Amino acid sequence: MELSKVLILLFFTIITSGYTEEIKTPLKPIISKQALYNIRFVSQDSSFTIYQKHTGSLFLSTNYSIKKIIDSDENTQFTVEGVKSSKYLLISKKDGAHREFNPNNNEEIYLYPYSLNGKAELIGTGINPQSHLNGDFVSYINKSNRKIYLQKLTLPKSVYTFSLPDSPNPFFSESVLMPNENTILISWQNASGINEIIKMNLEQSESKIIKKLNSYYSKLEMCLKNENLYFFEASYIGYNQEGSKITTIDLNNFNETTLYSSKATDLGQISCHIEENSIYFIKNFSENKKDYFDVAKLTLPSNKIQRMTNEDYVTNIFEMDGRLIAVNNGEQMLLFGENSLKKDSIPSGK
Amino acid sequence: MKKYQLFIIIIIASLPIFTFGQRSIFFELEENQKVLQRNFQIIYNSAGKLPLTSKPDLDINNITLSPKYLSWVFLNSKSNYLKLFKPNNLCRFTELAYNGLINPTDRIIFEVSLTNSNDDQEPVKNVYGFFNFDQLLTFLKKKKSCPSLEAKIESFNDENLKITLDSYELKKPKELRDCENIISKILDDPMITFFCGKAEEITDGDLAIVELDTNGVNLNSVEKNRLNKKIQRGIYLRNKLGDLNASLMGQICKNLDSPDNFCRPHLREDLWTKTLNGEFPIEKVQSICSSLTNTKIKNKNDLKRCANIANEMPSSCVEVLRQKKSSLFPVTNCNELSRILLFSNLKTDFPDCPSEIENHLFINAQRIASNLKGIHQKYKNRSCKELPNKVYSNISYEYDSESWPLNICYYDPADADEQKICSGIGLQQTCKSFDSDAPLNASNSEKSVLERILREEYNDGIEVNCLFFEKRELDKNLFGATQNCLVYHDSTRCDFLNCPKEVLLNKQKIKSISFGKRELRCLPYIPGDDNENKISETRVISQIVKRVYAASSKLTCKLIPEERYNPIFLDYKQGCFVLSPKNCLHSRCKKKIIYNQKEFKNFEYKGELNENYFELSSQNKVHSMTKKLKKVLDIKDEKILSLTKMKLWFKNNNKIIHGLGCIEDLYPDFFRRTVFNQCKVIPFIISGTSQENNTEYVIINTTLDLSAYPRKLRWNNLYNSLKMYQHIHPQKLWALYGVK
Repeated sequence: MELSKVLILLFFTIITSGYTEEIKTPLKPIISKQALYNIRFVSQDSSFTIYQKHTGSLFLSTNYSIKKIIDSDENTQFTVEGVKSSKYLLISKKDGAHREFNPNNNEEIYLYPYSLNGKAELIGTGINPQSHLNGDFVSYINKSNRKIYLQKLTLPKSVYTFSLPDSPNPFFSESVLMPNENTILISWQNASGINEIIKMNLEQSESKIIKKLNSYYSKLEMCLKNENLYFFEASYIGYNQEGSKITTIDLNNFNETTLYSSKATDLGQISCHIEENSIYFIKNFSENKKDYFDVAKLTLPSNKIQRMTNEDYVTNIFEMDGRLIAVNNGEQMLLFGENSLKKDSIPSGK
Repeated sequence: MKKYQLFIIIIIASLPIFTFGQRSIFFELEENQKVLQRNFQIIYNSAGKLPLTSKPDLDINNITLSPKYLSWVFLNSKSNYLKLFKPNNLCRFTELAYNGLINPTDRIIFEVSLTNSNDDQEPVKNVYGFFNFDQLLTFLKKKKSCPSLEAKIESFNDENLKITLDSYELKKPKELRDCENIISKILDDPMITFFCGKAEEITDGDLAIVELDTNGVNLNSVEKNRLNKKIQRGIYLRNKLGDLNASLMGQICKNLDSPDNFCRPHLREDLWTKTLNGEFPIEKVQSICSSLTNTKIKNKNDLKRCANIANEMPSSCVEVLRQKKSSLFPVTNCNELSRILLFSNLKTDFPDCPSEIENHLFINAQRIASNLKGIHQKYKNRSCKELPNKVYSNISYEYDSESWPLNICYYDPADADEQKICSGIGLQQTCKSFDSDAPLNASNSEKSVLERILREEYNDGIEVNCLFFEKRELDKNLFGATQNCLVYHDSTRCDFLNCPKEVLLNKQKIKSISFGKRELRCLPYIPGDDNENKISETRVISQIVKRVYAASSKLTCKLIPEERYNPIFLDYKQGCFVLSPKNCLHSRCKKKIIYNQKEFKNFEYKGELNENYFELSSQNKVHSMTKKLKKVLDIKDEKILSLTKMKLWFKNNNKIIHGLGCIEDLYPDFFRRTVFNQCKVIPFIISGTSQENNTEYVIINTTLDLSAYPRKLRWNNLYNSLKMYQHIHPQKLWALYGVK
């Protein structure tokens, strides 16, 4: 083969398989005044912390003030999620965390104002609560009656319910997104075991499958960013069905464009909201058949891939109000954002 | 079958070596079965006249096994050993008969050449004569005609069998040449008949198990005894020789004609074939194979079918689980599953359906108890939904029956029916009794007692007149009623045992008035149906029904699914039935009690079996599941802090390790962590380790997985999950323990 052809082929291969540039950023330890394992949420500017005492109750800590949010016992586990742009923090309360084990069991779901003015309000029981459209809507899943609940929190308040299919995986984690107040996107497993995404119109009660995988060995994730919808798809790890890709879809005509693809099975867990023009995910940097999972960054629109960590065994990444945190060797470490969770300045009194 | 054997006999007889004296047996074998039988009958009768024991001077050279007799014997014997017969070799015939490889009749018939010893001119007279088998043995011994026979018998007696078999150095073949060598070695072995005789005894034992399983109810006690003896003998030999030896012997003797057939399964390395070859007990694949073949796996034929399906259609292992919808999905295909199961020690011979169990603590407790003590064997007919609760409830009750939390409480008509109205909150609360059956205007009626309390404590001594009604009529009475006190109840929340009411005095809600529940009698119970346990749920309910309805002392309540109950059918017209609701995940969900078609409603379930998996803190008074398991089942445990320790644990023949971890780290593919310190805790069992591509793996079954479907997980994922759980545990527990 002529050299020029080889070069063209090489160039083509690099473009299509996703060229990886290595910018390895060390994961930073997270610094806080609290014991790290007590912390449940820290705001983007570190002005407040929500933490759980070992005795069980959930507290709010701001500079020079501590307040109990929800009372409970040592067998309770709280989780808190939220972003600055949202009106509310979502608090899940699981009782009997060390004696009742079932990921499908309902938890109590509370709303707590991000402004911190007000009390925690119980809004329902379910799992996987998610806030949408800056806190105008909240969704959660009730596995015991196989329903997704979508509550509209602005006036006039209303509740929508959607029945889940009788899927082969009773422990499947469904997820919900809302591009606008009339549209809901649900990622679920259909009755055949295939992962798919349904778009539903709340006003007209219409539904349409906008993405469906070919095999039940494959998984699907989605995220919304700047009104664009992004998908990550790959086979479940260890199923010998190689290949991963990140695509984006036009919600008007459903045209799909591939932004990244790889022959290796990536772990995914796409995080879309950390930077304006990038998507973070866990990529498989396999060598000699051995898998190495590290955080990668997909820069848009150049579709450039950068290896961000060099830890080999990252199992999770997630966002916490502007920070990107990775789990490595059983520790939660900071990859993006301020690693100090403490703010010592005296409040302005506004 | 007979025709098939006849065909074999014809084929064998057509070989040149099978000629008997001057007449070929081929001629006889061409006859049909009836001819053979008629011929045999003739010579049988004829030989009856000449018992050869009556000829003490009989020379071995003067007797020959009758071809007609041999034809009959071969027709009634297993075809695969006929090739071991050697013409004109009485010793080989005797060995075959001795080892049960052919079926000699009660008379072994010979053609006898009789001559008059005094007169050489007297022509030789050919007649038929017989020995029975013992007589033949004695004759051969006396004549020293089979000098090696006694040595062979001794080599294969129970005492020397193991040493003799070890001398064969049987090994699992790795290639076709190995198979050819083994078969050829055995065929050349002068003791082949004894070797295959023992193989047959083992096979007979296996077949007897199948027969007893499939046809046991139709057999009389004599036949059952016969089969049981075979089974015992088979088990004895198998234990003595080891599974691999026993299995190889059977396969060699079955395939003496075909090294290919013998070899085929051995060249496969999958679990299904290895189990078929006897390298693993049938229980290891029973659960999956039963699903794949849609029948209960009982014998080698079933296993063979399973191995074929699993090897030909690897996705079938995924498909069967897709239809079950009871555990984490997808699972690995048969090929990968086989590889994983080869490293796993976990028992799987019990029903399993994680999605039907509300608290997975019970699943792991039962799996541990089943693996270490085989405790599921005690509850053979339990459904997958009942088994974990049943096993663990019994263990927990045995640990401490005094503080058992589960009770069924009922209203006993014989008890004084006194109820209370209370006013005030906490320590300030005071209660007054009323009689619910008293007339409205009586001083001890509910109305009078309430009015008295309200007048004295809430209305400055001014008279109170109360109107009782249902919540629906609230609007009407708020504006229309003349009484200054309105008392209403919500019919959907009100029953005989408990009827909360709201009180409005002068149109103001009185929150500090409460109506007490009826006094109930409580009896402890263990959930489910168990006739042998006197505090099983159904026996306790039977006891209650007997007391409330003065029913017969022999009354037994039957637990049935609610949808099956139909009072139209005669079976349900009389008697007591406990109806279990269809979508009832937890043990305490309220069941309906029907006695003679009438529903008994005046009871309720109280208490929950809430126990921590591991000890939560030294102050916590509730004993943990692990503590109870250790005491009741006499289990020892050891903390596993590293992969090296884990490997050592399994190396020392210990079976399992259990623990608690965050599912987001164990299976990040299925469960994503989305917030700080999130941990959905899940119990798991580790049953082995493996190493591939320089990566360390553990073989894991979380309680979301079926026991029969372990997964291969990187050690790093397990480490992360333990560490993340350790962070949120009040005592910072490293929740990984080896148990034995």
